[in-house]
Amino acid sequence: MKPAMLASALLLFAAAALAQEPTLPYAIGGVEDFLNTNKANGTPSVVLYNFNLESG
Amino acid sequence: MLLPSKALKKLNQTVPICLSGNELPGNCDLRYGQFYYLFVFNDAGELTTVANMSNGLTNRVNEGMTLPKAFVDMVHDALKIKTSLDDHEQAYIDAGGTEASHQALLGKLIEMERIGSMRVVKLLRGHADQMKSPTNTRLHALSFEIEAVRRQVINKTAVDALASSIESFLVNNPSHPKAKQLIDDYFDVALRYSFDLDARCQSLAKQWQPSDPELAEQLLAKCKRQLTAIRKQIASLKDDKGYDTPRLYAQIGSAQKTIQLLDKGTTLGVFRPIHRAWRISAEKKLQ
Repeated sequence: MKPAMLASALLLFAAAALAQEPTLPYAIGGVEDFLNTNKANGTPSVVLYNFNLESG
Repeated sequence: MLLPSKALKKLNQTVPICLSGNELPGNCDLRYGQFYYLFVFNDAGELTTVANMSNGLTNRVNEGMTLPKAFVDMVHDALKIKTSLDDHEQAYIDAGGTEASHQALLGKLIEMERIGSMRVVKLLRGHADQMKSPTNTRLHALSFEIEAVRRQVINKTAVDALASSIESFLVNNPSHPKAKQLIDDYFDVALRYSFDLDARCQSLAKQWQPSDPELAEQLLAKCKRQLTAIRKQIASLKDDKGYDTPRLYAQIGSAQKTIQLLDKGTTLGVFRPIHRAWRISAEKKLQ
């Protein structure tokens, strides 16, 4: 396979992978802003302390 | 990683969720840093409860729930709690710090595994002078601080601050009925990682002696009992390799042995500032 074709194939593969990446159903970090937004919207909030994507 | 399950996606439509990393919400303090905690806020942005994730999830999984369902169930249970910590704080202030309002506030903190204690301590100290009994309110604040530090991950700054808080309360209230209990707590919690208990207590007793000789006596008597107990512990050790051994030698002020054990051992994380302080004090004593 020629390098140009290989690069195109890789780009297509990456684009497809990115398109399929699910949106996470939670926010990450920025707790104060998160709480302020929910307070302004009148909704309760759940915060998971120590739960980050590296260690959780 | 918190996997984006269907249950979680559904839950997030009604209750927004945030993974905070190590950023503590709700003006809370650092206690129990190594665990995962669930903080729940009501629609007014007030903290209603805190729950230990590991225990909450394990209990539910043991009852037969899947992990995603266990999490959703835990959140739903937490959302049933309507009274916030802010409500109890305000009730205490409005009541002028009565015993009933203190008990209600204590109950709320216990429900929240005492997370938020130091925020309450700060509030009570800030309002003590306006309460019916400023001394009682300061004692309430001090009790909350003692219990928070007793349970927390070892933190030299917090332990040292507690020692100052207890000393200050005792000096201002030397004949308080709780003085004996506070001296016990002083040794059990605030001085647990102190180098040379005898030297520290002699110095403190000297300051207290002129105005509060009885309190100074109580302090020295307790110190003597504490040191006897530590020496007994040391005598019963099979070798010097135990995790707690350097602390025991530090407490009796054995400078050479403390340095020797620190040199041989490894200092990890939370112990670094404590071991550094022991070494400085031990080297100073040997000069």
